[in-house]
Amino acid sequence: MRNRFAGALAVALLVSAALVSFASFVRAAEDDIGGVVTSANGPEEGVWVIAETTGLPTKFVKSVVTGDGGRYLIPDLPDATYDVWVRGYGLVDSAPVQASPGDTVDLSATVAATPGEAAAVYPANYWYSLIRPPAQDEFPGTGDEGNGISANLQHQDQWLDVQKQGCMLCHQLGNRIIREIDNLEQFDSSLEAWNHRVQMGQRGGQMTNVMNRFGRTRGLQMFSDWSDRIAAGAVPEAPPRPQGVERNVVISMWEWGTEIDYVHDEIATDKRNPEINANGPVYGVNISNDALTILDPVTNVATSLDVPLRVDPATVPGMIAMSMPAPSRFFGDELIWNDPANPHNPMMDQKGRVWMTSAIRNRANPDYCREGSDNRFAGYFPLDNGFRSAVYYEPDTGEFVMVDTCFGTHHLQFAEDENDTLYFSGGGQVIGWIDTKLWDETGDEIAAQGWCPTVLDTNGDGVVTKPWNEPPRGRQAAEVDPALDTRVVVGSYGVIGDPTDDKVVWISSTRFPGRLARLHVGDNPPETCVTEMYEVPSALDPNVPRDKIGFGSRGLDIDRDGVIWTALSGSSHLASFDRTKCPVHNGPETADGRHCVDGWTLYPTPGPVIAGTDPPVRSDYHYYNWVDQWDTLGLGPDVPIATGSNSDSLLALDPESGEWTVLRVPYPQGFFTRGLDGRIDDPDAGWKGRGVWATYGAAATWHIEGGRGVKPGMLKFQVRPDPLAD
Amino acid sequence: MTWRRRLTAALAALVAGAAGLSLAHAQGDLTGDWEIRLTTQTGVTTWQARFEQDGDRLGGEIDLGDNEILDVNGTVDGAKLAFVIVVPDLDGDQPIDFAGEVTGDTIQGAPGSFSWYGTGDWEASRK
Repeated sequence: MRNRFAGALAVALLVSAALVSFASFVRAAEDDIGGVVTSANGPEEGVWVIAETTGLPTKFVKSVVTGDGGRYLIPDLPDATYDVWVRGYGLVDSAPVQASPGDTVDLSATVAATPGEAAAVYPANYWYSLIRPPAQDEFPGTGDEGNGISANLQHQDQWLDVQKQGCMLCHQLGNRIIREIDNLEQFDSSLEAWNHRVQMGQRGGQMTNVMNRFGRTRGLQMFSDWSDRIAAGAVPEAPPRPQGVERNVVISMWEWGTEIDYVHDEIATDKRNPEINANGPVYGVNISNDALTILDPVTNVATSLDVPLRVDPATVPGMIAMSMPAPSRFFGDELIWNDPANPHNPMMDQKGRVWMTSAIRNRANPDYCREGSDNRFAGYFPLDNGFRSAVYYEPDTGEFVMVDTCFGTHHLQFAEDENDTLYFSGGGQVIGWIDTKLWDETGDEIAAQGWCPTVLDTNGDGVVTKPWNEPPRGRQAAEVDPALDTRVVVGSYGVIGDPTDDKVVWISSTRFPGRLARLHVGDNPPETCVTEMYEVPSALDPNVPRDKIGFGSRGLDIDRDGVIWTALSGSSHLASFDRTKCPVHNGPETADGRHCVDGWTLYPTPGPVIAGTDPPVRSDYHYYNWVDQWDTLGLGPDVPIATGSNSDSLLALDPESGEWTVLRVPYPQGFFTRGLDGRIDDPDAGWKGRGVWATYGAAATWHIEGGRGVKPGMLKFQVRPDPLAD
Repeated sequence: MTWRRRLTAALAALVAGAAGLSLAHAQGDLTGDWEIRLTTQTGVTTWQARFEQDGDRLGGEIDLGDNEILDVNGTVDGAKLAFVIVVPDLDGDQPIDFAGEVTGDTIQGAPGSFSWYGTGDWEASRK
């Protein structure tokens, strides 16, 4: 018996030793780099291993996360020499080690000596959570001669909304270049430094206007107090390391554009069919210098093309000011941006053509858009001005084609209808569209376009009829006749067609607290157009329960069942809206859009809470959101994803559990994205045949880690079955 | 007093009176309806404005057309005035700054950059 026991023990020891040995061993295939990450604490799990190279036509970075035992595997690397290093929460960045595909490289990580040392690589939202807005009981604001808070701000949420949709609209708050003041010695105080920095460069006029919206001095005090405390050593809580499926994420990044390019959005495929343009180039719109930025991810080559206008560009003013209140720290008084076309958002059609919202002329509309025209849409609702039209790029010919629209354009989405109708937001008082089938058949831009004003059926008779109640004009209160329908100016931002009804298009509004509008165009627009409006439940409505208070809708998408998803950029929620839960859709009680609170479900995003907010407002910011209807990422179909624009991430939600998968971009920090889409290159290739694409899109590229000289990155996110899959 | 001195004194009084009148006019209340003409590379744009002056504060509204009516926020300092309007936009509100000098019922604006409306000059006349 004793001998048997000794034998069993020996076998157990051998098996155990073999397991230990296996746990610390990763064999890299010929196009992979793998190994183990250890520190003084032992194997480091849930940290990133980053391989970067400038040995390809454009700079390339690939990041993975370590799994059990600190093991990692970076798959499918293009042939080059890479610097490989480790970044993780609780660590300081490791020194890079040179390696090539096929190498096995064990890496040594260094544990951070202090909380401050560890926090250097925390995402911006963690640092931003240290900010202290005025307390709730200081609202409403009473102006410069009162408490210094603007009298326009009635509630703390409105203050927070200015921080989010004023400042974070363009860049992160909390990244190093913002939270630290590098040139503090040039000023008498940090408040003076903030007062100066919000006036710098071509966006200085906009920034200084945002500060005025707070009540200038109170706003400056909040920011200077924040950076003073950070300079004195304040450190945020530590983010969690990637867990579970988050460790299966593989991120590839290619630089594209130039160091001054503001690449607003990207597109890789047709949202309705993600197998369009398989393995093809991905496209971005450079809004600040009028270019179509192109990446071929197969050859690793980035290029760009100038986006044309129909008239001399010198005669068309751009969105970005050609002046500045104070010189830029980096570019002095040089005007680095010139954007008469101002291409904003791209979308791909079923032919692989890249449509974009872009200006082709000045704002004054041609006569056929105006009153007196025999155009039926102009006859119904004339339009004097429009900002941006539609332009598309044909990869087969290399040509740009311009389509003049009476309505302004901002975002665009194709409907799932037989005419491939392309709907647009940004029309000001209308929602516009192009019948692209008719356009392709006739080339008649006047006949192919249409638009409708947003008019609610507030008299409840099932149709919209003239005359209707008009919205207020300036300070004049609107005169409301309950017997009439009511026109509203929603302020369309996001746009999406409804896959459950091809005559329905939804839009979102960014005006506090945010709204959705649903336009049914009917069989004979514009006469048959009927709009419904749904306000985001907020503190402005005393009937809203506490757990449903939110604000700041921006992005907009829809799942295959017709449930709307909108990221609440202000309150940091991803919100769903299910119209089937609404007791009524028209009639007088729908005029203010507060008639369907039950339709809303709010999911708080995972970032830290800003102190002094109740209900809690998080430090996340979500410029836009998207629904992965076709499982291009690998987390399942119809997964809603918010951009973690202030947290270097994409945030994927499981609506059943309310749990998040955080797809964090570890390097370079400053991944501020404004959109994403997913493509299937090979439906039979598992995780390798699919992925989600997104671009760095901050207005100031030099905010990205590395500073001036860094170019925007184009990213591909993939989720493999385990952290070592190759 | 010689006639020459009397004439000099009378002329001085006239000049002073005229200057005073001009100053009084320039510093008069800007409250009322005005038409603003903006001349830039896009051509001439005409806006209707309602100014409301309260001491050195300038308020009111400017109608940009298409139901876009924006608040005026500014100051008046003698004959000089400056104000800003903020054009709401989905990519961030666009402030447009104006500066000018009042002479009677006209305002001669300073050259500037006026966001999407272009770079150029502006003037205004009381309606």
